[in-house]
Amino acid sequence: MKALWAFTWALVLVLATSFLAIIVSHVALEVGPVSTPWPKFGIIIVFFWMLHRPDIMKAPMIFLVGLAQDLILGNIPGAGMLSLMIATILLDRMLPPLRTMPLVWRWLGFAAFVGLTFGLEWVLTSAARLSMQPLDLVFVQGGMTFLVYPVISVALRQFLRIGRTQRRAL
Amino acid sequence: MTYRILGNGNGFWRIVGRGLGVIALLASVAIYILGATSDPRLQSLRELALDISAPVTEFVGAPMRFMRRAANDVSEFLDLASNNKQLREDIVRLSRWREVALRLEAENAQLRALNKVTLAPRFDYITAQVVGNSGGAFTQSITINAGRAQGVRPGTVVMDGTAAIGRVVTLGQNAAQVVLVTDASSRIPVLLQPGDIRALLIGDSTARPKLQFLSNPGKVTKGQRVLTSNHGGVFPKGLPLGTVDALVDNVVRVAPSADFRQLEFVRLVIERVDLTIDSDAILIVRSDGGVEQEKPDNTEEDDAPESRE
Repeated sequence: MKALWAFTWALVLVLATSFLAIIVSHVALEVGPVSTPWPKFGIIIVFFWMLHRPDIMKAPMIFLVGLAQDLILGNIPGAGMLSLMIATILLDRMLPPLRTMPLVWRWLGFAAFVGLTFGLEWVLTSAARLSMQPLDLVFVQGGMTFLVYPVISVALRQFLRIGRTQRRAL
Repeated sequence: MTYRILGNGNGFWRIVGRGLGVIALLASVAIYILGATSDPRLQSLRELALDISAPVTEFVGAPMRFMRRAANDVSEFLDLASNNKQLREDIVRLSRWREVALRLEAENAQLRALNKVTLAPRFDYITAQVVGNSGGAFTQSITINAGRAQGVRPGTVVMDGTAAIGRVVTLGQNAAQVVLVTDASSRIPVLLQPGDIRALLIGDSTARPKLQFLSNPGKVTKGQRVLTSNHGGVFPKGLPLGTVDALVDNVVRVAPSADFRQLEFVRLVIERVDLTIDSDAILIVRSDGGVEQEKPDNTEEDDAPESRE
């Protein structure tokens, strides 16, 4: 019973942080073509939970988070979601060793993940619109997402006391 | 080695996990195909997401917008001297234009009085706040906190203070998603003035959308005004969009008049439906050039004499 409660709590936490991350990506601070693209916090949260709660962040959960991200941000429905799913399947073997590695290695793993996700989304969006989408904004947003990862990862690990004490939050 | 992401474990749960993973993957492909073909079946899903996310985004974004405003205030305070100088120059320039505008207004009023023309206002306006932003890399759209309940309709044109910036594509009860004119999916029929050149303004995710299918490319010059043309019936005629900025590699680029970076409040242009002709009257042009209006047969007035007979 206790294990079930713990699992339910973790499930709610994963869903809540994922939804909040997408909402923060959606907040309008600067708008339009000359504004600096925001990082995609949803991708950061998906990778974080894939490392720390791989039993929850599986294909159905990635499906939900990806769909919510596409619908809320107004992208082509399915483009972001499918790219997230393909990237996670392709990098699935890389993840288990990363779980016990220091932050620098996890950050490098995230670089591969974010590169693959943005690349696939670019291909899928270009295919859906039948024209090559500009790459510069993709590089800027992907780069910003990559740079923000350690801050979010360390903050979440501290907040949830992951890997800090014996008594873990999850 | 198994793909854990699609489900692992032992026995029965392993099969269930794998099954769910494969279903999720196939569903992703199906949704992508529907999304790529703009299938209307996804519209209700978009509207649901908009209605749920817009109030949360507004709430979460409030402190961030406050901090941004504070930073802008500080920046403006630091630029006070240069701004003052610029404003003085603008006042001198605009004073001249004010005189011209007053003269034209008086002339216009005189001409209307001579013709006994009474123009009913064609549009209503709604002001809404920008609460969400798509982020930039693949889509350029914003979310506003006005929707069906406030009278917004699909396709409603959205302006900043002076120029059209986009149109409503997804409509929730109290929120709407607006695709900006710079988005790669944006296509707007426009008119270049002076010259009355027709063209299509095509967004390509850059700050300066391009003009294509120009009716008279030889007459395009830098500085011409770009206005909506009402071809296709989505945008009302004559709304300013920007000016012709440059011609690079045979591509005409337009500088939008709207200041996207300062976009906090927008104005929605609602075309008044009570001005549309809803009767079935027929206009007959006689051979001598005169016109007369014939009432339809099914009205009560026309039926009355027949019933008396």
